[in-house]
Amino acid sequence: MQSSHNNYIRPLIYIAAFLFALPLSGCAIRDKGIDYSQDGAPDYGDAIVTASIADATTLIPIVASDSASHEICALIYNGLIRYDKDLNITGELARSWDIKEEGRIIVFHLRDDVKWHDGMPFTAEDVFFTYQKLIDPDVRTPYGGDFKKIESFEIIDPYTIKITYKEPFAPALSSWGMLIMPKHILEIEDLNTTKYGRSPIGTGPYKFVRWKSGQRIDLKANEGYFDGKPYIDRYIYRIIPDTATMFLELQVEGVDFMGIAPLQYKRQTENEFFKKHYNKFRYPSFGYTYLGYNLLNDKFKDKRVRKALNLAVDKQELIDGVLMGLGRICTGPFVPESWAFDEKVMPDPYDLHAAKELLLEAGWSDSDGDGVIDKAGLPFEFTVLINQGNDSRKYAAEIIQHQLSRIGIKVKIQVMEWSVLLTEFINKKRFEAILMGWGLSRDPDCYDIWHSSKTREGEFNFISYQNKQVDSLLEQGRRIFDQEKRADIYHKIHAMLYDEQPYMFLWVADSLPIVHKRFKGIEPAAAGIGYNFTKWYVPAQQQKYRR
Amino acid sequence: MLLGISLISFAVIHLAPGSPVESMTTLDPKVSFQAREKLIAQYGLDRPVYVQYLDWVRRIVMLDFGTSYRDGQRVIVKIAERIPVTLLINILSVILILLIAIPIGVTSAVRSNSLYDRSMTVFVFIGFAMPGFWLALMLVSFFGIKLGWLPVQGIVSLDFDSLSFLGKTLDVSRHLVLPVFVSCFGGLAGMSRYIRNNMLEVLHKDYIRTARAKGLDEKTVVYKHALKNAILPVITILGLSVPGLIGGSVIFESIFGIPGMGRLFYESVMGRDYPVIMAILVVGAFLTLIGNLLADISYSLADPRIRYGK
Repeated sequence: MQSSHNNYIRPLIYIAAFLFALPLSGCAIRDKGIDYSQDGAPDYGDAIVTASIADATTLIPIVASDSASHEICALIYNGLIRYDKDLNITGELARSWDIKEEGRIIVFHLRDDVKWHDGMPFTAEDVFFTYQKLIDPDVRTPYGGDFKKIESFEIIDPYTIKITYKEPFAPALSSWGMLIMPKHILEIEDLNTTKYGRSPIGTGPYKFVRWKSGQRIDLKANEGYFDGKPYIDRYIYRIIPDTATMFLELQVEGVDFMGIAPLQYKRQTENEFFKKHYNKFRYPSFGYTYLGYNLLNDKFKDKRVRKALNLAVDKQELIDGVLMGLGRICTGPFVPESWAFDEKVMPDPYDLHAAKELLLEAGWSDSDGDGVIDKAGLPFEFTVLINQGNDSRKYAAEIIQHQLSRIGIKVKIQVMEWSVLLTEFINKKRFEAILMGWGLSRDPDCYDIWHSSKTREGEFNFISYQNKQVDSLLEQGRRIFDQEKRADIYHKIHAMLYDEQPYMFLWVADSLPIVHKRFKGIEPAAAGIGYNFTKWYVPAQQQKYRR
Repeated sequence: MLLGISLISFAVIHLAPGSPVESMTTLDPKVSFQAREKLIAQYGLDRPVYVQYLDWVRRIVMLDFGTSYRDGQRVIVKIAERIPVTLLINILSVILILLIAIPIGVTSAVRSNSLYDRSMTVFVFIGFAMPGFWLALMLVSFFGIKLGWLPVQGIVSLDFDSLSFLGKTLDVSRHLVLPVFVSCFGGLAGMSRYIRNNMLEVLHKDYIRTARAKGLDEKTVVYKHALKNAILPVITILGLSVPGLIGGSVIFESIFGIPGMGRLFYESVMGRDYPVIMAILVVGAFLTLIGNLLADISYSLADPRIRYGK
């Protein structure tokens, strides 16, 4: 090629190559040679980087309904009470409380040494303000239910409040874990749209610094926190929308703390790098996964059929396959960590023979030899609905499908987008079986899930479970304050529900958090590992983010 | 036309089952039935659909795009936060595609059916067929973790704010290398094949033969005469791709952690955030119409045949 073009092509190529190579400069610092296995005395400083797949929506605690917002709010605000490491209720903004008239009246004695992040003192007015907003019809809060049961709210003095309920409501104490908002800042604001939703003021261990939409939220330690300034100076919340990428970030120490999947826990975090830089933890999560039957469907009305199905599904195989063994069999509506859990309830064995017998008794047999059992000409077929985006439920459904085929039951699986599933199928009860999970609140009251009155469209007893005995037990459980008596009641409910099998209770998965090794002071307990987050620290020599 | 597009969009969104309230109150045992009803009333979702539509039109005319159902922010603000990154990546990607695809197309046409042409074809089609998200993860794994040359995700590093201006520019460009590369790699096939085919067509035209007969060297024939004619349709393509500039792939943006329009749109649809969805659709429709107009105008400017009528 010879012509005038030659003269400028070559320099162009050089420039292009330079521009391309320029961004590639700068290698990542991999190993600084620090031994993180050493412990040390508590020091202030450093930052912790956590990640989430979703951004928060607002930092006004009573309006936010998503978990990302709650995670941040829990650091910025406090409730009157909180749960300690053994899952007992202990005071936070309230120093103590008196329960009168068998629980109808609660008198809270508030701390007098708490200041808002702007220096103003916290008083009973703030609690009253929060209560008013919770029951305000113009505030878009989903949490008003528990607070509408209050008959009257009296401020006795700036640090004493007397709350009277219409009747004793046992979960009331737990409901006061609700995060308290500042009256002097928010009383003139519209909580749904206030700018303080993006620059909150609270009483909590961390103060808000800034929020870059879709990217990160920064918090810094509150020097004047009533329980002592947290050791970790900064909290950086990164939004990383893809879990695969999040795990990649973990591998370059770009993230200090995240929950990992069973596969990652068992197979991908056992190498040199992870052993040197991270600690893994494992404890039961506070929720369970289940297969719910539509009890209005003829097939599932017969208790023998439900029991047979339970006997025919090998739950351990499910846990080993889907959770790689990182979970345990669920025996009812409560989790092992809860005081409502009855350890005496034993899971049914895996017994195909007994299952077939029960089905025969109920009238189901393979009369036409096609491999599928039938009754009065109708084959035993049903469809399980699951929501899109949850791999473990998908795998579980497939395994159950396979296991039930061994006793001649044909299962079909349908995956659907969440909102559609909820509004068109679950709420309208247009389903045969669904594979879902519940994340439980700390208080064991599960009235909304099992009571026969909660079967309207949009309510949680969508399987249409009706049992008068359980109904009355649920009502009692809500009204009695004495924890021992309540525990008896819930034990009974636990045993009954397992016997009746309105759900096939599947598993309680393990929570699998992984934390960078430089963070010390982590003590796994019934409540998990986060309960004493303000006491975690990094010894000076191991600190990473200085400033 | 805008009215028609917005009407259809509004209707379709409201036909989809579910409402913003579902994603807000997802089977949360603490949310009572009455609370849900209250939320529906507050959003005005219990009014008839045509009332909601007319209300929306009235506000749009005042350029009030409303506030998001998800977090109460003004929709304009939400979109304005996301557009710059998306635009940056898309524009860089388009420029890169043009810079690479045009030479490939031209040289392939000139040497059509040679080994060069065939290997170029294979190359661009590999880019086309390869799943973008897979390539993205592979590259991140290799360049980000194994070699440590490039950051894993995001558009800025954690310590961005403490960097100098030069440092900041370098930081952003380091973060953009992989997204722009992956985005461009897939688009090479289309453009280069298009150029190649156009060039082939043009190279067989009579006026090219005339140019050669006049004694002009091959370079001038190809670049000055043929290319100029072959490139005209590209203008149309560019015009039609204007609305695409504000669109992003949600898969792509999720993997690279880019807070762009793709994720905004996807999350809004999933959360039934009607104001945001409508705003993005209206902006997109508007840009499509503008882009069309621009394409028409520039085509007539560039091609005298159109101006004087063939």
